[in-house]
Amino acid sequence: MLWTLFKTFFKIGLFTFGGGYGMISIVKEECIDKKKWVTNDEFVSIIAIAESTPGPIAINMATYIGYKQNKLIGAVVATIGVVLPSIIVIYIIAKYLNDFLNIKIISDAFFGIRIAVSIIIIRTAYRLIRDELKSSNNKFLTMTLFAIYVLIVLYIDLFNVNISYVAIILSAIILSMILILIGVDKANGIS
Amino acid sequence: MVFLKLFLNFLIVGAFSFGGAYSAIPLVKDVTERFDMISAESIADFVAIAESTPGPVGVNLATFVGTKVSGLPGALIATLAEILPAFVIMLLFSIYFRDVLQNRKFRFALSVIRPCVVAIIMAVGISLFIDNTELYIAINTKSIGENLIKGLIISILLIVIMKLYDYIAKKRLSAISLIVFGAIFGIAINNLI
Repeated sequence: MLWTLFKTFFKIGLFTFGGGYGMISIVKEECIDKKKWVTNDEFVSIIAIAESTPGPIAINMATYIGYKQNKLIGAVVATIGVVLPSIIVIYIIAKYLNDFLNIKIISDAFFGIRIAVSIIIIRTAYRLIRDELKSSNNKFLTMTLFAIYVLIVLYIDLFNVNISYVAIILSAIILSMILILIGVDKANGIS
Repeated sequence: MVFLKLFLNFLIVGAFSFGGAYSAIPLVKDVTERFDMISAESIADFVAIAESTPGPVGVNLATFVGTKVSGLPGALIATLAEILPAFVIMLLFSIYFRDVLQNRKFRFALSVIRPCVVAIIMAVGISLFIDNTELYIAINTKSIGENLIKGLIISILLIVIMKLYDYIAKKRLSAISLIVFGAIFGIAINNLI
């Protein structure tokens, strides 16, 4: 079990390009679709918590999933697994390859990798919202929230507005409290 | 003493970089200014390398600065300090999450927060695509850049492969395979066109 946990998170660390969001796709495939270690709902909830707490999302994911599989030792093993590829690769680059990004074949490959990563992230988000809609008791509310937030975040990203994702999630938390106060949770029985 | 200094500095980075790697970059910049052996110009290189190599950007930055300051021990200490706050917070959360989840109001709140989180993922994917293909620049200058054409060709190739695999093998092409195909197409297109 511990070895599988280590291997899985090592693989996740090795193929995470372009920040935490690229990793989300690989974690979903490895830990939800293949191994069923966590549910979709749990997974998206962890992302929300990961975004609102400090540190890299990959570490949050590894700690949570590792703990769920094998308590403290599982959390430690998964976290070591996810950071080990970084340590090895970056150590070698920092030590021996000073103009790493100027090597032509590498910069060419990264151009393609970046395009692939953006497509993978879009595909994962599409599948997550599709599953969310399937299990939602209030599809109208889920879809409206999703559409509005996509537009807001796109606006923020493309026009370099200085609002962090933490603030965005905070606004959703406040909104959920308002909806609970006016009794929407009872009316629709969302679970 | 340099180890303690490295540890404390990256502990602060780990504890204050909210919401992904991009908030870690300015904090790491502050850290490097406290170590004499790192020049200001090399920070931009650090970030470029940390973003394009595998692994979380924050961890990559910590390993990089740690290695430059004092070799492998430095790399390990800086990385440990960087991940420690996230690890501890998530551990506490993992222990108590199941209990909190029993609460119906909390479950409702999560059902409102989740579409927002998935929306962030979707928007990040779209804006990364726009950045990488320089689509935004193309719209503003009303001229089609070389990277836009190359990027679109790679995207079309990737989507065709995805659909073909889906059709023939009756299952989804994994994210990792798509990354490998992306690298191959990137090399091919930059050397053939």
